[in-house]
Amino acid sequence: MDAVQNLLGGFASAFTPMNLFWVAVGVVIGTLVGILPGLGPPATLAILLPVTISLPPTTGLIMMAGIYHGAKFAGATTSILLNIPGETSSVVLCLDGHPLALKGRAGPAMGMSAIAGFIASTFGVIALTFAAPFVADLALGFGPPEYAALMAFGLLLVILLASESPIKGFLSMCIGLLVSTIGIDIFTGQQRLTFGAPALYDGIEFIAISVGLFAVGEVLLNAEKKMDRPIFNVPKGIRNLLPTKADLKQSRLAIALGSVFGFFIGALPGGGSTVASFLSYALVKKTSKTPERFGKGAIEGVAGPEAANNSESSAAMIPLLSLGIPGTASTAVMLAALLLYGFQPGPLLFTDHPEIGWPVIASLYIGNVMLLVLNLPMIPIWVRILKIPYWALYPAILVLAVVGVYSVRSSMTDVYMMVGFGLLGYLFGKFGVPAAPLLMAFVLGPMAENAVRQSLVLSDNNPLIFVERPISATIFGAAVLIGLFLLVTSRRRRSVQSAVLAGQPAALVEAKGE
Amino acid sequence: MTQTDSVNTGPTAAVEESESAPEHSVLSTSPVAQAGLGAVAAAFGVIALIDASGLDMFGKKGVPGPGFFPISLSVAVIALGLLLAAVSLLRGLRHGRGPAGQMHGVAAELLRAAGVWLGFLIGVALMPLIGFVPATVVLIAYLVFGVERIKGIKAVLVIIAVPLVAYALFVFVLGVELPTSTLFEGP
Amino acid sequence: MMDTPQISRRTMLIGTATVFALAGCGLQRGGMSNGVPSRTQVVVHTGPGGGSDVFARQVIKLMQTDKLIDENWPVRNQTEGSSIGAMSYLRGRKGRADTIAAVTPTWLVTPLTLSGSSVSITELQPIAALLVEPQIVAVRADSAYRTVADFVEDARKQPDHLVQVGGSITATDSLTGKALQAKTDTQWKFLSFSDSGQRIASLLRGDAQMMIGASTDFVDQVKVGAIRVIATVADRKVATFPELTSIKAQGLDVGPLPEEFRGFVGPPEMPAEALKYYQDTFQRLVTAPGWDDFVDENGSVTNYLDAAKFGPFLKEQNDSLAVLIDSIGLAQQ
Repeated sequence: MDAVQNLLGGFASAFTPMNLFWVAVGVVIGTLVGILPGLGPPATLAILLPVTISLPPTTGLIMMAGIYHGAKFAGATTSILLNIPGETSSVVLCLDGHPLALKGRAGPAMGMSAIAGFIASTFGVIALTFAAPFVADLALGFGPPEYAALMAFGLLLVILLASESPIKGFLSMCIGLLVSTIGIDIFTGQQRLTFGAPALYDGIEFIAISVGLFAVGEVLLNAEKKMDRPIFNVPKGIRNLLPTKADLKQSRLAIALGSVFGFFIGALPGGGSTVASFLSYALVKKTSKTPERFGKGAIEGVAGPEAANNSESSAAMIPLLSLGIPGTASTAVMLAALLLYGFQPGPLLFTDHPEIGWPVIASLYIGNVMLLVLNLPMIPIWVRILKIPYWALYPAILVLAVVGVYSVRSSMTDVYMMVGFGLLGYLFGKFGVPAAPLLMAFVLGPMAENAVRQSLVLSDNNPLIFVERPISATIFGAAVLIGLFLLVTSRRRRSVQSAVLAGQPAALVEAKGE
Repeated sequence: MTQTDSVNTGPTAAVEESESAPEHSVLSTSPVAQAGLGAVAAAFGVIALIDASGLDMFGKKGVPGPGFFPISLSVAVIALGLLLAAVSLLRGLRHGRGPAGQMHGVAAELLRAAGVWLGFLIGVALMPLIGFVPATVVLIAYLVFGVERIKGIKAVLVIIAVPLVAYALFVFVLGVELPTSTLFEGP
Repeated sequence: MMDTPQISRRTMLIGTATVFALAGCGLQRGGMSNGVPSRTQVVVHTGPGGGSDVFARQVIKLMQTDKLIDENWPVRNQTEGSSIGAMSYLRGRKGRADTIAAVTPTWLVTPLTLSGSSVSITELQPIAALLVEPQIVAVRADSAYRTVADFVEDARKQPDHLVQVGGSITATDSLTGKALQAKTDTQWKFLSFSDSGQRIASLLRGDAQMMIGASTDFVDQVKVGAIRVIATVADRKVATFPELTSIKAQGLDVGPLPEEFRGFVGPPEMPAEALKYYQDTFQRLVTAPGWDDFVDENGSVTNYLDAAKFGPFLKEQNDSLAVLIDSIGLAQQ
């Protein structure tokens, strides 16, 4: 019970009035700064690094935890309200969060995001305390073949996600995969599909694609008609501004799935919050009894990914503990802070400096609680944004998009990319091509390809390596089984539906074949 | 579905209809449009294939090389594009054209969106030339006056306020880089 | 009805706004006094938390602690194109005194391996080199290799079978490995991971037998006994592992190998007073208290070169890298 004692000790030292004050400040600043799309937690932390460093170590790190949570929440806010993906892990919130906002349920969506996140955070801290060594060992056993299996599983979920109009979904996914290969190949140093442009050496920036496809694309779709009335419906009354008991009940499974799955992915070095939230979304959708509601405002579509997001931030401490290496970009910045304070992060951080290690973990949790306390009451104010007439709102959205994308790496090329992908997003919307598979494939693609190539380098091109190693074989097996199962059941459902709809040739893409 | 139902009756139903219209636009089912989409996608795949064909498919000992995935994927895109075109054309032949007048409002809608997009593109292009704030003022002025035809003091306020607030907030408060003009560089 | 007053009000508003805006556009950077910038922008080619980024921030912090500078210098992440973006940006600030950049061998290697890069470090003004990060060779703690010669011997017996794990193929550790293979006529595989956590994990898992990296990569794992370090690549002693001998001392004389250096450069045609100012500041930095501790903690070695010596150093590194890259077939395509 050493770990529990340490954790409680961590809480005790983190829980001082000064720390509480600074974590609250952190949450507020993090929220304000994080509103900018492209300025996700890592960049926000980096910008505010000079401020946090000037505080004593424990306080500074706790403030960073507050900033981190604030920025994440801000990302969720812009995704839900304006369909602007605030940062990588909040992209998936656009899929169901924004439709909820359009239906007048922006408040419940944002509230659910905070609440699901809080529940998952609690789970994450507990799991971290008790299961860390076990999970660390498991994570260590995750070599290239295991990653390849995991990515195969992920891509399978993406394919199944696009089961409405399958050809177009497949096309979207393949385009995403193809676009993800643009850049310099790290194995051979060769340029791929860069057409000789130095701006493409590192590949296309994720934020440019996501902001373009979702935010700009939606603006263009709305721009088709004259906007003389608000397109959002903002309900009155506090009751409509928070998730209802029914919502929470409905989301139980999603939160559970998201928390566990997110924790596991977060523990893998290089796992990342984007993968965790994407895959949780796909998993939640696929295990739901009514998957056709997703994409149109299913509250579980917000609860699941947000749970994953939050439990993975606790889990990201595991590679830190076992390898001294940060699991995500935000943790990397926090580590930079540790370095600047003069601490060497790694397995010895907790034994040599327990006064830093455990309070850090406790502070992540405290930051989350503070977020809940401060930001839930602010939701009505945020939702007020939707009342602005759209003709004034959408130019602001476009400007925000430009600033956000430019701020990531000060590149006008990225901005042009965003404009281009905005057009693509518009065309996708018009022609009924789903955009989510493209984006998900874009994220998973490089990880999948690298894992496969690394595995084959290790095994001298012997494909059996994927089944020879136990973990990899298990995941592949599970993927195959689940894939077959879902394929068979969905085909049965699709044949029923298409029989029903056979009498309406002019029916629009409601024939979603689920 | 209980809670959402009660919120969805009434005014929201009307809103849902109009926002679902762009999603389920007629272009997403018209066989000719879908066939066109397939053809364009295939063309995109061909461009990628041509550029990627210079890379090796396989490395030492037959391990997938740098070209393996780009080439296979571009082939996949071409195949899917052609498949989509074929399937759409077949469906078009089988079911015949949709009811007349289906494509009626489409051109006007497309033009409006295109106008916004072009304005956006030009606005962005202006930023490195004349600086962030002037370019944004021009862009928003174009959108508000030109496209939306909104008049009055509120419009002017928005045109001025948004760029200035953005500038003040991001540059001064946050210290974030904004596109600066090559003409107006500081000391 | 409200026409006339509205028009003049509107014109006034637009007029003031335009003036404001035009003035504002130029106001991005801080002022100067007698050629000494008050707030210098430090450009790095990595993202926040990356190697150069952390290095730059640490240096800035040290300079503030030692009271060498008054203001906080902002760090600008220009990550496009693995240093191409940073170089182009710096070149675009020609003649200015308020921007410098932190450089590593990446700035030399990338233009050598990529066609279409129209910018090179020779166009920029070297200011000073500060340190080198000696590369260390590491194996898993229970491995049979005690010296690099052991590893090379084993590699000779099993050609193209052993695995070295590292980063991108054009990074220093990969090039060092390739140089070793070329000079000892052996062959082993190279496994690339972009994530440094996965590299160490590979070594610990046994997927790879050897890894070359900086002291900071290994120091904790060595303390817990999971990894053993067996040699330094260059002929320098490293404070974090004082008992380590170099590859040369172990009997493998393979000639000069790439070194991971860190320094600063400025834009072309940088004003002379500014160059002198920066150079002096860095010189005071490396002689100030706190610098030695910083260097030792990070497992680096001070290697201060002023502007006059840094230029030729860069050229010499560039030439040997060019030869190496050419010999392994990665030259400009």
